[in-house]
Amino acid sequence: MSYDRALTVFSPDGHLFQVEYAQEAVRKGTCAVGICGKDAVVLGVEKKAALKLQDSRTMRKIHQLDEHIFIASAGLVADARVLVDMARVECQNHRLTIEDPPTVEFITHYVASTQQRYTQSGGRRPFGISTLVVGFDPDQTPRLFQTDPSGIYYQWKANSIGRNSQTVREYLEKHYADNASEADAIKLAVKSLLEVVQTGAKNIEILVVTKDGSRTPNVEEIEEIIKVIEAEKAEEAERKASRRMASS
Amino acid sequence: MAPLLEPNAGFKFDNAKRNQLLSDKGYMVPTATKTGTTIVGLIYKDGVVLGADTRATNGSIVADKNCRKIHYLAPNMYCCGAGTAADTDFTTSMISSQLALHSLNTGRDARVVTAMTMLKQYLFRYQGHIGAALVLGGYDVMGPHLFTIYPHGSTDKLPYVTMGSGSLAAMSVFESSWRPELSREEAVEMVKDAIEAGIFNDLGSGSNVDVCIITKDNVEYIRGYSQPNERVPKEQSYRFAPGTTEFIATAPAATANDAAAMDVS
Repeated sequence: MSYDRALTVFSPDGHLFQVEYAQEAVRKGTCAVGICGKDAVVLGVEKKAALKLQDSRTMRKIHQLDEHIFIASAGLVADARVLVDMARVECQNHRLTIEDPPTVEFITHYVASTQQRYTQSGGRRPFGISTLVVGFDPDQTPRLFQTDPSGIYYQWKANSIGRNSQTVREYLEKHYADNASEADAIKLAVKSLLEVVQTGAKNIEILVVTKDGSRTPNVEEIEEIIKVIEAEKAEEAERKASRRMASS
Repeated sequence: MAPLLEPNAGFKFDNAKRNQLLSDKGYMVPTATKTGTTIVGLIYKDGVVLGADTRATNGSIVADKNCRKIHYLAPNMYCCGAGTAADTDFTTSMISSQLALHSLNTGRDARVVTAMTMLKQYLFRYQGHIGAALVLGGYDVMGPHLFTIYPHGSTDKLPYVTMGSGSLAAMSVFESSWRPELSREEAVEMVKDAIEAGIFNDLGSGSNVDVCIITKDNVEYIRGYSQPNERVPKEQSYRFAPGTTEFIATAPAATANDAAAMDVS
C-alpha cells in the first residue's frame, strides 16, 4: 500500500508523506531570513537572477499583508500568493470586526491554521511554502514568526527558511545580539544571506519595518552595506594575521 | 373624450389618496427621511477641502453634539456622510477595506474614481435602502477629485458640492463666492462659512465645523476647526442643597460580614 497517494492517510510509522514532500519543496526554495531588532524588524530574501528581458518588479517574494505586517516565503511562490490573498482579506476582516489593526501573531495564526487545514481536508494538497511573518503589534512591539507546510508556527528573534536555511540559522545563532539597532539588524540580515548567496547585492532584497513604516533599500544601498561588511572582514583577517605573526 | 396622457403640469395628488387609503386600513403612512446634516467639499488650487458639521439627530432630538462625519477611506481619500448614521459609517468602512485590499494587490494608491465606482455600485445594488448620501474627495495620480454620491447610486463630479439637509444653505455660500484657483486659506474659510450657514440656518445641523484638507502627499484633518456653539458657564448654581430629599427611615449600612454571609450556600 502506498501512503503518499491520499493525503489524509498516515503511514504506519506516523508520517504524512505529502506534508513532508511539501517541506522538501520549501528546502528547494530560495532562502529568506528575518531578524527582530529593538525597534525594527528586517526581512532579507535571496532573489533569483532576473532574465535579461524580464521585468524584475514582477518577481516578488515579500508581500504586504496590512499597513504594519509583511510576509516572506520560501518554496512554491505561486502557493504563497494564494495564502497572501487570504491573509490580506483576514486582516481587513479583523479591522472591520474588532475596529483595530491585527497583531502579528493573530495573522500568523490564521496563515498557519490555513496551512494546517490543507493537510487534513479532501481534494487539496498542502501549501509548498514556509513563511516568515514580520511586523509591529499595535503596542509597537516588533515581532517575527515562522510557519511551515504542516501548520506549525513559532516566534523567533531571528530565523531563516528555504535553501541552506540551516547554515544561515547557525550563523544567526552565533552572531545575533539582543536589542539590535536598525542598522545592525540590516547588516546582520545581509551578512547572514551572504553566507549562502554568492552573487551579492543584485540577488538580495531587504525590507525594513519600523513603527513609522517600511522601506526597501535599493541595490546601491545594499552594495554599500556589503562594502562595509567586507571591509570589516578584511580588517578582522588582518588582525588575525598580525596576531599570528606576533605569536610565532 | 379623456385624453390619452394626463397633463404633466400642476400637482398630482395620487400619493395623498394612497396615503389616506393606507392610514384608513391601519398601515403606516410613508414618511420622508431627513438627512439632518451639512456636508460640503470644494476643489482649490492644490487639492480638496472637505467639511462637515458635528450634530447627530434622532428625529427632533440631538443625539450627539460632536460626532465625526468625515470618514477615512484610504490614505489619500476621505468621505463625508449624511443620512442614516449607521449606513454612512458601515459603507465607508467596508469600502475602505476593499480599497486597502485593492491597493495591496496593485501596489499603488487607489484612485478616487475607483472608490466612487465601488460606492455607487454598492448603493445602487440596494436601490436606495442604504441611506447614505456622500461627499467623496481625494487626491490621486490624476490630481484632485470631488464627487457626490446619492443613496440611489447616482453621482456628480463638480468643483464644489454640498449634501444633507443643510445643503441649500451651504450651496448659497459656494454659489456666491466660489471661483477657480482658490488659495488654501480662502478655501478652508469658505468651507467653514458654508458649514456655518448650515449650522445656523438648518435645524438638522449644528455644533462644530470639522475640516479635512487633502493635498498631493498630505492630509490634514482638523476636528472642531470652528466652534461657534461653545457652552457658556451657567450664571447660577442649579445644585440641590443637601437634605432636599427627605428620608423616612434609616437602615444599617451593609458590612463586610454581610457580604461573607451571602457567600455561604
